Amino acid sequence: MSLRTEPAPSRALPAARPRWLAAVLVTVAVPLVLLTPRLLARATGTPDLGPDGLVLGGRAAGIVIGLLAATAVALLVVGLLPRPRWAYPEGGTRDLRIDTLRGVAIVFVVLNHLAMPSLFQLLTQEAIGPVSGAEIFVALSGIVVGLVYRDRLQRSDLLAVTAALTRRALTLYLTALVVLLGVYVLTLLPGVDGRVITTYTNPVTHDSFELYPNIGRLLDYPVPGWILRDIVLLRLGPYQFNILGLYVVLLAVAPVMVAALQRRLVAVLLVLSWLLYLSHAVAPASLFQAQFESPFPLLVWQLLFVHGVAAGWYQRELLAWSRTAAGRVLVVGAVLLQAAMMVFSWSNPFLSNRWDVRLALVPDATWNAFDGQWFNRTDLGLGRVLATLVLLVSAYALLSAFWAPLHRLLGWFLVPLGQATLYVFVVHIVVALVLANVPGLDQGNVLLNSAAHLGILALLWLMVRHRVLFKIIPR
Amino acid sequence: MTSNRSLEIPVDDRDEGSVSDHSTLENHSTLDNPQAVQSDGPVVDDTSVDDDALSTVEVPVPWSARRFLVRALAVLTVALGANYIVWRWLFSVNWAAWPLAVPLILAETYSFVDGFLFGFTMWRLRERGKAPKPPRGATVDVFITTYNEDVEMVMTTALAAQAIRHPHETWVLDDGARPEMRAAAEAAGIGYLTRTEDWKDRPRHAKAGNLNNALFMTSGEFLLILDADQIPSPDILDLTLGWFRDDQVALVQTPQWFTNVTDSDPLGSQAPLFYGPIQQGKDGWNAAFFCGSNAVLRREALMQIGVAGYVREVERAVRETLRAADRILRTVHKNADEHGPEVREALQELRLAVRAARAELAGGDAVGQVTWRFQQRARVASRLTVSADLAALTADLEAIGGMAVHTEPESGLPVIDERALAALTARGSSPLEALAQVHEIVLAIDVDRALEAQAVMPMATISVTEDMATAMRLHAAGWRTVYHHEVLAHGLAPEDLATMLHQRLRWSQGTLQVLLRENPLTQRGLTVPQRMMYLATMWSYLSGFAAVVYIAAPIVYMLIGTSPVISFGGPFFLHLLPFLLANQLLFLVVGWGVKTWRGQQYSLALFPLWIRACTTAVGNVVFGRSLGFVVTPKTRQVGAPAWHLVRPQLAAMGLLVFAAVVGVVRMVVGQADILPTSVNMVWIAYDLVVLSVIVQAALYRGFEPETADAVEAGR
Repeated sequence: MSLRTEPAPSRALPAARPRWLAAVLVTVAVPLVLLTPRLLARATGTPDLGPDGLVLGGRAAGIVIGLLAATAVALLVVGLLPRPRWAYPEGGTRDLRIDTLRGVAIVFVVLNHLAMPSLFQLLTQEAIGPVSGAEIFVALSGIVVGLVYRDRLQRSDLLAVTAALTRRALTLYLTALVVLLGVYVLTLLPGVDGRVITTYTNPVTHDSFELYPNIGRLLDYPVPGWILRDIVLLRLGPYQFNILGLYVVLLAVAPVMVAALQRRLVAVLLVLSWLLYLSHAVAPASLFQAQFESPFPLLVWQLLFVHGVAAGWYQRELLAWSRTAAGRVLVVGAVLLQAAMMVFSWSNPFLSNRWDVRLALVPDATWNAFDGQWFNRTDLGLGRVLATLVLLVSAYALLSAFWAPLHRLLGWFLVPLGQATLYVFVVHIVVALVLANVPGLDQGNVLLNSAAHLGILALLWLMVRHRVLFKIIPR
Repeated sequence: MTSNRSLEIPVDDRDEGSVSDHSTLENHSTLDNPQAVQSDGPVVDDTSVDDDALSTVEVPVPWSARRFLVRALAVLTVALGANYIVWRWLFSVNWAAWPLAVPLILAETYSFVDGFLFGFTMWRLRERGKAPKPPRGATVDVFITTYNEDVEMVMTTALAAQAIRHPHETWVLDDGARPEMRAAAEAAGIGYLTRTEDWKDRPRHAKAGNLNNALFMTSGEFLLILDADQIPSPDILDLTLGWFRDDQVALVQTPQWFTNVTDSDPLGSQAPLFYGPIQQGKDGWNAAFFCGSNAVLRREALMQIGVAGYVREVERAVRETLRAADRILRTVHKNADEHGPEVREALQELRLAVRAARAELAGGDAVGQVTWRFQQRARVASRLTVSADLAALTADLEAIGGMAVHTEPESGLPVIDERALAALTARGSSPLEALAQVHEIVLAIDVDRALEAQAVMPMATISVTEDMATAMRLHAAGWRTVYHHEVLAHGLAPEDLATMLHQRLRWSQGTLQVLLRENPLTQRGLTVPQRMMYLATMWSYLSGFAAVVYIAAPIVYMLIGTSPVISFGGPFFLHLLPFLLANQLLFLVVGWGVKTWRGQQYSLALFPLWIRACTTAVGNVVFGRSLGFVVTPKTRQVGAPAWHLVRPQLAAMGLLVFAAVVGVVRMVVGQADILPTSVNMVWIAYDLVVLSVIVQAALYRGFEPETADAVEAGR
């Protein structure tokens, strides 16, 4: 999913050694975070709901919100102080903050796709606001395009840029095709349970869908043309991978966006993007009936990408502006709004396992209705668009202000993953298949599953560090 | 269904300026050349052409009967071909499977047009026989072009040239300006020419530039042009000059024949179909091509097209640069006032000057007058701004990546850098910048062509294959050309796959450059048949796309069972077979006694290269990209076969074999029908046999004289 189109320079993987201390710290901090609500519940007399998780209401919820607000304010106060030793060293050739954020997004995506109740899930499933890895990813991809190709246009021209973007789109497309077919072949191996790849089960309704309908017709003679067409249009395939189709289309169209920005038509571009977004609300259209279009309708999701491209293009200007008084006010506003978004998503009526915690602030039905109206994921409700924006702004601001400690703590882990996202994305499909065939997992043993998640993250990280199969698997 | 003739190869076997070609040739300077000149005269006499390659091209049937047969078969082929292709379009395209069917029918239509052009070429096959006696007192300069070839090899050629019987002057045109080459030439009493100072830091135009340079330093009425490895027979002039008794004749081209090629010729170096029926056919339409070497040219004709071309190119360049100037001036900042009234006035004056000049040009005024008037006005305007801050200006210009107008190194023509222009106009140029840019433009449209070494370039410089472009200009100017079908010079061909691929790529790129820059279909002055002859050659270089389809179609059928043709039953054969038969017969009669199989193979087997030539030529001409080069090793590989150069072909062969296995299995288990599977099996077999040449070429270890009888052929 990485949008980098140049061959990876060796510096793409910084030589920073893993901070084992940081790893230990995280493994200590996570249980601590998990225990705090429980202690809080006990202290405030909220009943512990045991196997279904913990619901905090009333005073306990108030304390949680207070703590969150205090943290936000504290970060703002410290962050706004001039503290050059912690700040991100501006001026490098590659924005490592973006790589870090991509690392976060890919970790979210991977853990959510390896769907097992685990401690990590508590963090990755909308714990940081009503935003999932996909939204972050699509927006970041756009940002990278804008960032990279404005630079590139200084040295070459639109034709070369178009060629580079088209090549990248083609790489992603071929990767999608090969994974579509390759992983299916793996599911056919004797003794392999391929349902994790070939079916999708709605976690709420428990309805099950075939993801490879009629794939068997490939063995017909003659092979029906429509099954080939369905494959070519990516109408089949593992659901974990379908977002790649969205990128293929967005990247193929990206030269138009770059051309518009080059001609200073940013306003036209954004207005057009909003019109397309709105057109979906009026008359939803599926252009290719590709699989990705049902979870990620193209006309809706382009909004994040296009705005990402524009933001990346004007990164310098936006950063400069963020240092003005008005800019600072907006950043502060975004951080506070981010805290509010977190309170909202913590109030969701779902508990995924006994370690899960939620706030009980509004009745479930009210929350559901509000969520459905403003935060719909598939159709990208306006609230979700706003949530994505404030999350990215505050995360970027956080990384800018506290770069040194954060990089030390997690950068060594996130940056390599964030620089090889397509690779990680390909590998995680195979991991998902393997994992589904390991007996004993996903039986509700949260701690065991968490250990598995941790092991997988370590494995992916090591594979990236040691460039395992880098020559074969694209990045 | 597939094209059954080789790609036409109209151009010289080498190109100057590419190290790799020559280095290969260098390796063979020690080769036992039968024509090596050890002493003087008599030895060279042995090289006179008697029973060499030509005898194999001798027509076995009486001339008129053959011509009648050729015409009958040409008509038959085209008629049956039309019958087939119409039937295909109207009744047998499997539209339901359009992603397969449409490419195939397009490829077939391509091949039909190719066949038609071939038939048209053959219609007036002209075998000239002996030339009349040379015109009395004809003066001749013999040019041997070299860049970095082995001095010893060049001298072998030069001495053979010196020994040509007809009175002449021999010149070595050394583009490498090597002292040892000069010494060797002067020691032998042979003229030595190298570029004049005028060419310093100016576009060199490779071989065309080398020849253009020499044209202005010599004075012979006729020029014999030889590549450094092309050893001429002593009678080459006696046998060809006679054609110039016709005052309209500007060119006599003789064949190229290579001595370092084995009988099986795995690299397909010999082009007997081209240096034979195709050139003879073109000759019949007064469209025989110039092929860069082994040709005699009339100086007067070259100079005439040089002048005409100069005028045309200047006109075009002036039009484009004025347009650019207008664009720049239109985007000048509104704040011109900041720079004072002088600047504003200068800009205003320039703007008016540009508009006036454009109007005058559009109104049909003579370019010289228009540019002269424009330059006068522009000079006055820029004098007003001498005091402008030049340092700030330079910095500004660097920021946008330089001037919007520059001189293209390959053609030497002023070209608009669209990127710089876009950058300039997008941000709105500052008045000073605009002035500087327009000043550059004033220089660029200088009619004196201050940026070129010579204002007049007789040899066309628009393409890396200058010969074809030059011939087309000669034809457009009304000159006649002659193809003299007698091997009068013997040369050396590349001996390894890498060099051969590089050379073919350059040919095809060059030909396509000409097609794109000076489309023969729109050239004024060419007759319709001449246009067709040029088109035929260019058309043949598009075969790569058709080849992909011809390779993919049977693979797809075997693998998925969908046929692009509605049925492979009776009607299919009824339409196809007569056409194929007539086509093959025509080919047989035309190419009687000539080995054409290699050419046929390569026209399909080099499909990645042909496609690359198309894309790079379009990139070069349309988008101003560099042509790019095949990375070739400096010396001939002695190690493993160069499989990496032919990966796409090997992959295609692998897929064909795989598809054949799947097809057979499907047929055996009763899944697939026998007839269509068999048809596709034959098709796959044909593709494999054709592609197999690439394996032979990769395995080829170069020419070994002891084992090859080609040395005999060259004697």
